[in-house]
Amino acid sequence: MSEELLRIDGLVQHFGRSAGPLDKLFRSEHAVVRAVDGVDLVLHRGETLGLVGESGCGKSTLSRCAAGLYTPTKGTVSYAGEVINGSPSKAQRRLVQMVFQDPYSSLNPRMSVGQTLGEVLRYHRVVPRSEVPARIRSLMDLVGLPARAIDQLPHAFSGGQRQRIGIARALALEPQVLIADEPVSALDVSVQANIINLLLDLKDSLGLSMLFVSHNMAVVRQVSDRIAVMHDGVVVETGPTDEVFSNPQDPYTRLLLSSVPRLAGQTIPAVEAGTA
Amino acid sequence: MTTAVGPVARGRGLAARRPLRMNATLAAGLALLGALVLAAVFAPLLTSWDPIEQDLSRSLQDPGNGHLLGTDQLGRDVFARLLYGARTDLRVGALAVLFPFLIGGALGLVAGWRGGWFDLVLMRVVDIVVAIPFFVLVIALVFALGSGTRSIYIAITLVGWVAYARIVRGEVLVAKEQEYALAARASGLPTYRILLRHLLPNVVLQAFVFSMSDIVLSILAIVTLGYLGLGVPQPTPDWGSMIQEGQAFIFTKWYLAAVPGLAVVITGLALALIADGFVHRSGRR
Repeated sequence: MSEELLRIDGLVQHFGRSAGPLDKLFRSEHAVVRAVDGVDLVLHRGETLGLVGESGCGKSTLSRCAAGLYTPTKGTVSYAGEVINGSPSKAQRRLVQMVFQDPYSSLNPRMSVGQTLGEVLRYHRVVPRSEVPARIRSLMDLVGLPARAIDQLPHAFSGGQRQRIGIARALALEPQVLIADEPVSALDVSVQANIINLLLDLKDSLGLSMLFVSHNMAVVRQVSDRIAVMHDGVVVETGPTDEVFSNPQDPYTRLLLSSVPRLAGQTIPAVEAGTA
Repeated sequence: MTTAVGPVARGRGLAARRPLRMNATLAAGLALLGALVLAAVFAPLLTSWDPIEQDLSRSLQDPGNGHLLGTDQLGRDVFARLLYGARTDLRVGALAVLFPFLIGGALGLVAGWRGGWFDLVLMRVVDIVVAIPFFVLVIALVFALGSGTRSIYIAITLVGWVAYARIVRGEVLVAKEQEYALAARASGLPTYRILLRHLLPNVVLQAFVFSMSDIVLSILAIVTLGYLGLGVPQPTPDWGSMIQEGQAFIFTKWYLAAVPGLAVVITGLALALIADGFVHRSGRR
């Protein structure tokens, strides 16, 4: 097996009012949401790992932990063998980047495309200052946006175009791993395919590894080399895409597969009575 | 986990209604305020009367005879006092809002972002300040500091920052969970940059809108303090003392109190129009 770029070991992420200082002071009881409750995952160089599960199963939380946005309650997140746990270094940030779910809220409404891309390019000194404008144009070209859009604010763009900007922002740091958290679920169906194809093209041309998070089995099947099925904060099944689809082991996976609309002649195993 | 409804609705609203650089409301407000400021700045060109010069032989004259709005009980020209009063009130109103805006806004920004102890302690201090009636606190502070415009600035700042801290903190709590803030963090940008470049421009509007009405409230506070003898020291012309002095003659020379009152109303209207115009321009609500 090739090099492990992203590794998650025994990850637990609980949310609640546990962070409140008064709760600590009075040791009061508090409701805790067990968003992620013990997950192990590995992402190898060059592969696409599909993470599927229903809404609220902890997919987004897991992907945000993987992107170093949350400090895990327990367990570790490692980039290329080094534990980061919620506070990756400046260099480690560049290794793993994220594409967000909602293109309507993932772009700062007060910053133009050029400002959004230029900011990260300059801060991380991806290219010398003088070459930043040229790099912005090449990034926009890479994701299929016209260069004349450079000075426009996000509101001027459609959902699909906004998501392209989000992808360009993630790619600006030349990451090796791209975490895509439901990158197409907020988009029109007609645009979804464009964005997925763009992600697949970029993955091939740039040699990216991808953690692709979605609730849509059909999409995940199309893009993933391997699949991890998540349910109630735990991963219930992992395996190569074809195997998981043709011979699902876990009852929950079977339930998920049975919920996919199918075309005539396609065979997807039905849920056995009582397993759900 | 993700808050789908709010951000989407807001985002779509932005996309649908393209903000205009200028709109009628904003233009009207700016024009009105501009006229007031110009009148204050060029007061000596607009009237030849000295606002503090008394002439007891010509007190309480009706408008006309060289006095556009007549004279007050000390024979001072009302129009001149109105113009020079604008200098005092606009300056005091603006400055008495500027400092609370900056201090409260900065504290609210940090409290909303960091949370934890800082937030907890700050918000309890806010609760305490809010729990004490505004004027009781301001009057106590002005009394302790001694009357004068500087004391008014300090007193209003010490009391007024809490509103801005609350507004900005609340907005930051929402904004920091928006995906653009997460994206900024995922890009590894330093905290000060996320706060100043990504959060502040998106949370400042509410505070700004409030500040516009707060300027009017400050002017009213100065008027009230003047009424209690703790305001702008005599004989400096200001609308508050004009209203106070004019009220004694409200049945005979009603305009002595009504004209400076109208000036306060017009100032409030101009500021409200500007606030509305900015909200409209940004495409929010």
